[in-house]
Amino acid sequence: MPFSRKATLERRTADLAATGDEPAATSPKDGAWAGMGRAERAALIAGSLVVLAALVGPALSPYSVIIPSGAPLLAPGSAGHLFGTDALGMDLGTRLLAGMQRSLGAALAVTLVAAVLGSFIGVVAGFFGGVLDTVLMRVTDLFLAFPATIIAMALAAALGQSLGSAIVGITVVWWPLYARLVRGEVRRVATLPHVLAARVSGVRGWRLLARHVVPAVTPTIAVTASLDIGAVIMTLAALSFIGLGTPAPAPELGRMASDGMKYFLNSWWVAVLPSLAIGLLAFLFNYAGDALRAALRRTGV
Amino acid sequence: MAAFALRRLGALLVVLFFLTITVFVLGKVGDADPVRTYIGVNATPAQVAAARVELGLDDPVPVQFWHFATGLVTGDLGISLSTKRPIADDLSTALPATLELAGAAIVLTVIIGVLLSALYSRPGRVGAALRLVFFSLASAPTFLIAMVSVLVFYRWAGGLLPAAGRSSYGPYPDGTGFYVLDGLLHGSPQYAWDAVRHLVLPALAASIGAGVALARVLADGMTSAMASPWARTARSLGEREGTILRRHALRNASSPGLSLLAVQAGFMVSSLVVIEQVFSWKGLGSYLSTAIGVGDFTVIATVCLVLGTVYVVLNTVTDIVLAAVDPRIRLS
Amino acid sequence: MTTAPLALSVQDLTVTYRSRGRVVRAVQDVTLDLAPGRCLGLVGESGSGKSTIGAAVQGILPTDGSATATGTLAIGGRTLVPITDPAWRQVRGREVTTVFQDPMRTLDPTMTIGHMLDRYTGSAAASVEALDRVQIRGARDVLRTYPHQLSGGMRQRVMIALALARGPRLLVADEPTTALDVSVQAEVLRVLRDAAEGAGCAVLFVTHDLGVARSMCDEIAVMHEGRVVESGPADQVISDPREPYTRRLMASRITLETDVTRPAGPPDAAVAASMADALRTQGRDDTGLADAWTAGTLTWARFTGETAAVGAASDRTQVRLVSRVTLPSLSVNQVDKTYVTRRLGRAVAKKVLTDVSFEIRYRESVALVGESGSGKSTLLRIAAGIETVDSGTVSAQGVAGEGTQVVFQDAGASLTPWRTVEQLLAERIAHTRSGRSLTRAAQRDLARDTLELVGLDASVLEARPTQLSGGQQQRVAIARAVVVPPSVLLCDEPTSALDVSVACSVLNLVNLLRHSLGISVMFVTHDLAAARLVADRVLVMTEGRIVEEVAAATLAEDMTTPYGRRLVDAVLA
Repeated sequence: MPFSRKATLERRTADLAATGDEPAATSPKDGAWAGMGRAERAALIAGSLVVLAALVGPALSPYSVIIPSGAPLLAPGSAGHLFGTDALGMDLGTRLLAGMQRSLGAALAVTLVAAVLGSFIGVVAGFFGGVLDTVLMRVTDLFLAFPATIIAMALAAALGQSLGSAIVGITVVWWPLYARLVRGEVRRVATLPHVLAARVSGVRGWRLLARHVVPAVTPTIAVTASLDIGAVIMTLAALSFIGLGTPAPAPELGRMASDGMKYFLNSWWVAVLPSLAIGLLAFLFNYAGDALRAALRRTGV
Repeated sequence: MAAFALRRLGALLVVLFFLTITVFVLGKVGDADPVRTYIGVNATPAQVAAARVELGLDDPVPVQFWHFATGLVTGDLGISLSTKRPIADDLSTALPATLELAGAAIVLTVIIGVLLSALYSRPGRVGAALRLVFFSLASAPTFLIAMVSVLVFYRWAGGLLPAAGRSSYGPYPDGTGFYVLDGLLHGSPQYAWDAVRHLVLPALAASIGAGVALARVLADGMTSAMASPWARTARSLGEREGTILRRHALRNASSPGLSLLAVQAGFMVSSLVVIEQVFSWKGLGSYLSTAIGVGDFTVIATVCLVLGTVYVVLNTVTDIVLAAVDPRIRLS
Repeated sequence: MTTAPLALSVQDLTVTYRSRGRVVRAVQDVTLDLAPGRCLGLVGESGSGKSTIGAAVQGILPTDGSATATGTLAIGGRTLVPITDPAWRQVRGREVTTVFQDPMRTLDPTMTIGHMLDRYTGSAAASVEALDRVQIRGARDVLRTYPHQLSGGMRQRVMIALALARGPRLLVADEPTTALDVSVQAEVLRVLRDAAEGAGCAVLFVTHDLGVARSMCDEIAVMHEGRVVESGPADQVISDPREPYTRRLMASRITLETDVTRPAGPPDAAVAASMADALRTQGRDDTGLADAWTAGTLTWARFTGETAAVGAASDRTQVRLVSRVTLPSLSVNQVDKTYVTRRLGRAVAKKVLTDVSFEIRYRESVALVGESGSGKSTLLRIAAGIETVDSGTVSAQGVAGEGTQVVFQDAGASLTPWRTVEQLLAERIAHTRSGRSLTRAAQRDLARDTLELVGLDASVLEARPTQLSGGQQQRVAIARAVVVPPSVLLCDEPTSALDVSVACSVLNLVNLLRHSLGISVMFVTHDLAAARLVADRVLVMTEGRIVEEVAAATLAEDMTTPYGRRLVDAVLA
């Protein structure tokens, strides 16, 4: 009986012990933090520290990000170079932090633009319906039917090898996810009794949308966006790895990993450390997003 | 049901048409100059003019698209700008290589997903630790998993499994391009086994992330299925948990699992590009990376189109299968 | 002579839940006996512990340590320890089975009825017999269908067939008809009783509804706060309750015998006529041109009788008042409505309203009674302006936006959870012409006064809906609807989600409001008893038509159509 035993039982207990008008243990006002467990809070704090290190680390480091320091090439970690040096003798640790900074910035940009643009289209299509909805959703569906990463690759390749191209490529394939999701949510929320009641009491148009519909959809968008940052980081890294990113000496983790593959059998860390850095970022954001989702579900926002 | 399948097939054609247009337009608006890729940066203006005529670049754009589209249908995919070889020839060896790897990876994904889903809902500290490990695996970039598997099974285990290429023997001259199949067809289990050994690491690297994601969806589906009112009914009729799981929950949890598998297969198509590069697997991915390196957009466009077609067809088939499996979709 | 063992014997059962550090004693020292083939009703409000007993008897109390139980249970003479006994595995499904509340979700959607049933009957032929026993005709066809293709009543019959298939000694029926329509309820109850009797199976019938318990059970045990407060033969407990709690429970029920204190009916037509004359002599017959109420009018409408204030009101207001009093507040003329849905590309038309006509006069309350699918809710949505008619007209008096307002069924869901009560009321005021004409301060006073009028404290203004109880939420919803009084208040089963005692006070509030604010009421419900309490006239709807109209006060005697009689009988049973 490996599956779900515990969850089943918890559910049953909840069903039986429910006594009606009992107030929730944590009110929605307390927000997500109150709904989190110890592990989730610890992960959030660790994540903040990593982000902080990536933001200020390169500036504080004694080594340059793009100028070789004259240190031995492909050296393993030592007191002077904590994470060793790369094939040009640059300090790997400094470049890792700079690479994380770049990844973060790029991923946040992609997620923000995709979420805002997609959500706007989704809200408009879902709320106003009619021809507008049909046209917007046909376009969205076409984008969704396309193989996202492959289109992103083709687009980035067409625009030339740079991080900017990769960002554009991924944003173009990412917004339809939000448009679809948000449209569905808006349509669902729009049929809920509280929206119907607000409409009956005379609230219409943008005011109805802003006051009675959008607040119900925002948590979903926020959670999806926070869960997406990890996926965007990984997609950017994959594009960069196959050559669709700014070439060296720009500190791009994916590119650093694929360049490091040349020395893999003797100096594996040169390729593995940038990959680990990507994994770490993705993990932290995925975990934080998951914690946020679970916490919001528990507090019932 | 038949009407539904026909509609989905119709939609498939529409999507493929737009996909073709998109890739073609990208090639036109991109800043890569096909002529320079074709004849090099030091060519004389006369050579450039000749090359433009040869490549059909002086034709009106709709005519160019017509040539491009008809070429796709008839199998004339043009020539690579950098190697001057016909792209169709390159694809005939690269496509089977990628499909063989993809097939192995999907099979492994299902196996990993089903096995791990049983561990996903374990209670207590062990369960929490396992979920953390799974979560980390799902967050790891494909090439990290590929690198670690090479380190562990090749470098540190003293060459336990091969970490590069598809075979120790090379291809059969008249083979299908699917090496495992070739080995079996030619009655050489040794050749087939060697091909399987070469498949293990790349397929594993491609399937771990997808497998973990599948495991999570299956486990979630099972959990909600086991907590559902009809599971309670079955319990009240005296069924044991194991029976409820087999008889009721598996059916109900299988459709979200199947949808996710299709999504993951789509992601896999692109992660294979990365995997092939790490494992020197001479498939579409390696072909694509090389083309990106030299800015050969003709090849990039064609490979993207082929991979995209695989993805779109896969999604359509999944939709039809889902409708066939689930009576709620079929009968409502 | 040895007597057969009891189907169920519960001795000194006490069940305690522990969750989030709180300890709840759900059941305390309960002792029950149930003889073979008999039916015992376990009656109580939510939280009384009746469901916990139901769970204990099936052996499905949580085994993760959150529940502890003392005392003994015996099923068919076999004694079991409440939670931990390994023998539950043999008992559950063979000796004791269950029929649950919500038939929409209790059957596996991916399996045919036959596939499910054959497993417990042993053969397809036996399955046909099992369906025959629950009076399902065309059993062979039903065996091939999936649950979602059957109606709620049919599914519940299938559920009963499943539960009785292996000939258990005890059937736990956990509110088995609460989710069903009234007339279907009666049939399913009859099927349940006949089938259980035929199988010689005892029934433990868990319900909150004393009426249902009386029609179904031989004996009744009334539960309150975890204890059995009264038990005995069903007729005696219902008609002659001994304990104060049982009496209170009986008194708060709304039945066809409940006393109705009906405030004065629609005003004297003569008064209205003389008002009209007075205006006409002043040369003002441009009725209907009044475009806004003044602040004075609002206060007037709320707190004084209308004739006394006529003299003080402005001319325009007088015009408006006369038309308001003399013309119908809501008139519905030959309304037709068809829904078209697409299924796999095919259009399926369903006619929901056919040639519906009626009027509601000033300050009159009319109830539309019907079951789900009768079209009554569609009619309400049309009157509210949420949906449109295909043909015919629906018109309400009053300025645009002030003709009709709705009180929805689930008040909690109808209030936007992140807005405060003050914001919700202010919004309604600001979106009406009358409300906009008031000063800010007057708007605030209006919100405050209205809360007072519906029996809420002004401190509720700052609260969000989630912080209020179900009864308070319904009052806030009503306050929003009447803060700027509409001509007609449309009520969509506003009490069906509330506990009995709260429901009663909400119905009285609606009655009070229509007289003090001078508004008319259209009350949509499936509950004849509630309709009788709140309405002057009752219109019976079925299959999209109004089939009968009776005076509310005498509906039990006056109802003549077969469908109307069936509704009355279902309530009286």
